[in-house]
Amino acid sequence: MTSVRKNPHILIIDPADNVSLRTSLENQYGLVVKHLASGQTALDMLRQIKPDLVVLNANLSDPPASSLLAELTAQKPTAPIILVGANGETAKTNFNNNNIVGWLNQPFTAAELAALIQSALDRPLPNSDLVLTKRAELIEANQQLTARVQQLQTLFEIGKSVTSQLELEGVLGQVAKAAVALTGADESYLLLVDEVSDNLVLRAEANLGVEEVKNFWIKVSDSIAGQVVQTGEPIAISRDSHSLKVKTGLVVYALVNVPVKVGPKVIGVLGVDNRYQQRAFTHEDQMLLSTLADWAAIALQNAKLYAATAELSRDLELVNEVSHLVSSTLDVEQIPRLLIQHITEIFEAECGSLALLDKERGSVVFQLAYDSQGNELTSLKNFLMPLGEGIVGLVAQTGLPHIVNNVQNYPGWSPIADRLTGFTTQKILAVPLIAEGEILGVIELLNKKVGNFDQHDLELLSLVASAAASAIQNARQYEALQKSNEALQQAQEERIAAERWAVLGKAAGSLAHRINNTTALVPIAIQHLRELLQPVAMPLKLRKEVDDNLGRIERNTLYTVDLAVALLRRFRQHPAKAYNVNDLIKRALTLIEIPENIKLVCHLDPNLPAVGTSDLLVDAMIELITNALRVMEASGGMLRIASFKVGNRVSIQVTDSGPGILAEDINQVFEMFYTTHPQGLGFGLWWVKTFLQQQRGEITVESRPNQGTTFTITLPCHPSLLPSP
Amino acid sequence: MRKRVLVVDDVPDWRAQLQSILKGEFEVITVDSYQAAIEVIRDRGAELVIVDLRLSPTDEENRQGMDLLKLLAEHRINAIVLTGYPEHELQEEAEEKYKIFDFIDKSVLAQNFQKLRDVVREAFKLLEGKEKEKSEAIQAARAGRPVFFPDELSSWPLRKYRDNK
Repeated sequence: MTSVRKNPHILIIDPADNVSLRTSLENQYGLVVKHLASGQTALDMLRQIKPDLVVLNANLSDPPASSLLAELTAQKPTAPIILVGANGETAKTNFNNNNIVGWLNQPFTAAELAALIQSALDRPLPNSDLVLTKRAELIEANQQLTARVQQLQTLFEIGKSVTSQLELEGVLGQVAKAAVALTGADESYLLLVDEVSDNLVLRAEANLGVEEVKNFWIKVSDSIAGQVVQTGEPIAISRDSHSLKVKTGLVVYALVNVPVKVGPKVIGVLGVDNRYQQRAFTHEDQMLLSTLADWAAIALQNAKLYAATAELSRDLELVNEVSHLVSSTLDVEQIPRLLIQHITEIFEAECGSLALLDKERGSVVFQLAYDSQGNELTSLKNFLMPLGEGIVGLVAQTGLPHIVNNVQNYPGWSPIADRLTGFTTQKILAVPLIAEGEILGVIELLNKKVGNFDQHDLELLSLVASAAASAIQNARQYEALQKSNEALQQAQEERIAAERWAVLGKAAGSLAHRINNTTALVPIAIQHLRELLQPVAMPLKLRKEVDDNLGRIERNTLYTVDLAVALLRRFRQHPAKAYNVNDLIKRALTLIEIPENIKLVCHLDPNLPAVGTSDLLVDAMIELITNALRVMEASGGMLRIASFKVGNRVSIQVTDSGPGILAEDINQVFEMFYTTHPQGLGFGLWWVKTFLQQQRGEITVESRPNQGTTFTITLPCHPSLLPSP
Repeated sequence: MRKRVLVVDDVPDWRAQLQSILKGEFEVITVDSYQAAIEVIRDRGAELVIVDLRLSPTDEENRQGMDLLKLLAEHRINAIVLTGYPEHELQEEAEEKYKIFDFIDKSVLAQNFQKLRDVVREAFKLLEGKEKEKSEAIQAARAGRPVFFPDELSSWPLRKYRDNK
């Protein structure tokens, strides 16, 4: 900036030197006056004189005043000019020059000239040195303002992105770029304190270069940035600063590091440096950097909040997913498998297992275990761990979750399961399955693939476990409900079967008795009639016709009587007792004559448990055996009778090698009055089925054309399942 | 010995049919009810009674026939049950408690009506044998010989003698 000279320099160009005027101006008005008689000399010396004001005689002739004026203006455009020896009109018309600030006609006094000079100097020309200086000052101020506005703009942008942009890396990257932009630094970096390693880890940078970014971390205790972290105070140094010790090996010319603070806690360092520019940073740079650091802190907090929210919502999503998964089935067997496969994958564990509490045995029993590929570790299935033993036993006993990231040194850990599976457990996260305040079991995750199990994993797994536990509880209750429903339904069915039996028995009995009491009389009467006719003499032909008639009546009436007898017999009262079905089969066989063209093969299991049934089972056997014999009557064949145990039931099979039953007929064989045999009563198999239903048993049939037919009777053998007589 | 059979059945056709079958060999009296049976027995006595268990259509439990059997047993009169209700419990009760001579199912009889004659015939044969033993014993007593009257001399229940054969 140029400053105004204390004593203005006045150049008087006049052929005549008015000494008294000059002296007066110098002594009375404090002006530095130089007199030149020649216009040409004045032009030559103008550069050295640097006049603040020129007083020119308008009547100068060599060169003429007008041309001198033009030259003066060209060479020294900032010097105001006062014309003497001219009036206003002359000055304006003859000397049209913007630099002319006043004029005086001859004669004039020193005081007049001085006043004019003074007023001219007070109102400097627009292009005077003074104005230029002032203008430069203004321009500079304006530029500073613009820069400030730009800085503010940048800060504002950062602030905006901090508050709007929730993705942390993006925000931090912008902070680093802004640091370079605002301070004009070569490079910038944002280091954050890693709480685990206590190192400063590079999180964002500008112009640092890829190579350096990758493995950029600094020990807190051993660096300028570390010092900032420890003291919480900014540090600005450069090679020409002597205020601080400069670490040897400082490769940059200057740097500023400011702390990134959240409350009183320093969570990182924002720094800029000049690696190439030979320039130190100003205090203003430091202030800007601090502002940015604040923004970075806010961004970090925001992002942390956001990440926490995102994590929470991801967790909720996971919990929701698992709850959905486990509640999608009410199959109590399915839930653990789905659950364990899912969480082992999600928590990136090497193995996940589920053990359920068995109160009676005072243990937890492993239900299943899966590795991260979803393969089941079958060796652990049904493995039993006493309550309080091992971590799983401990969790099941206390209901408290456990994290152990180094089990081999953990006293409560039991190596038994590892010996069993060949797995090497290092880290365990175990949480209880608790529903309605009741401990149901334990979910255990082994060996997190990356890092250790932490509190967050524990909380999340606990959430999942509580969802799973209530799902398991639901499924159990559903299963119990279903079982009692089934029992109820079975009881209902049995009651219906018993009622049906009773109704059928009563109806059949009533019908049969009526037939016995009425129709049975007909054959008796026929037989007696035949006897009565015996001695009566009649033509042979007539006798035959009479006999034939009587025979037809008797035969058909007897069929009705037989039917009634069969009904009566099959629906008679039959007290339930414990029978060995082999005995009943043998009894049936003694009542049936096996034709010679049929081979009988018996496979009777000698160690059958007793079955609660009645001797009506003999009738059922007779029915099946006579049916079998009938279908093989013509061509002969093989009759196979077998008895065997299936679970807690006993089965009897009657197989023939006959022509088999057509597929379209097989569903009808158990229907009443269905028969393929002309003399069949047509209710045998229907009755067998009805009888077995009443016995809590069942009968099934399998048949293929030309490959025979197998009827299978199944009866429960548990004595407590005996139907009430 | 008079071979008189009392037939008790509430169905007229059965009474007529049985009479028709038996009258050639035996003296047959038929009645339709428990009460009528009692009157006949009281007035004229009876050696053998053929009893239908259900003596009225409303007698679903067959108690009237059983009551008659009880009365007959009390009076040491042999009975044959002929019924359309050949139920196991009834047969057991009639045989065990009232010592009936036989239990015939009407539907079985329908296969061969001669069976009734055979049973009645056998009963009278046994009764005759017992009569004979009894009269011999009475004669011996009258002759002043010491006589031991064992139970075996009783003609009731006849069933015992048939089973012992």
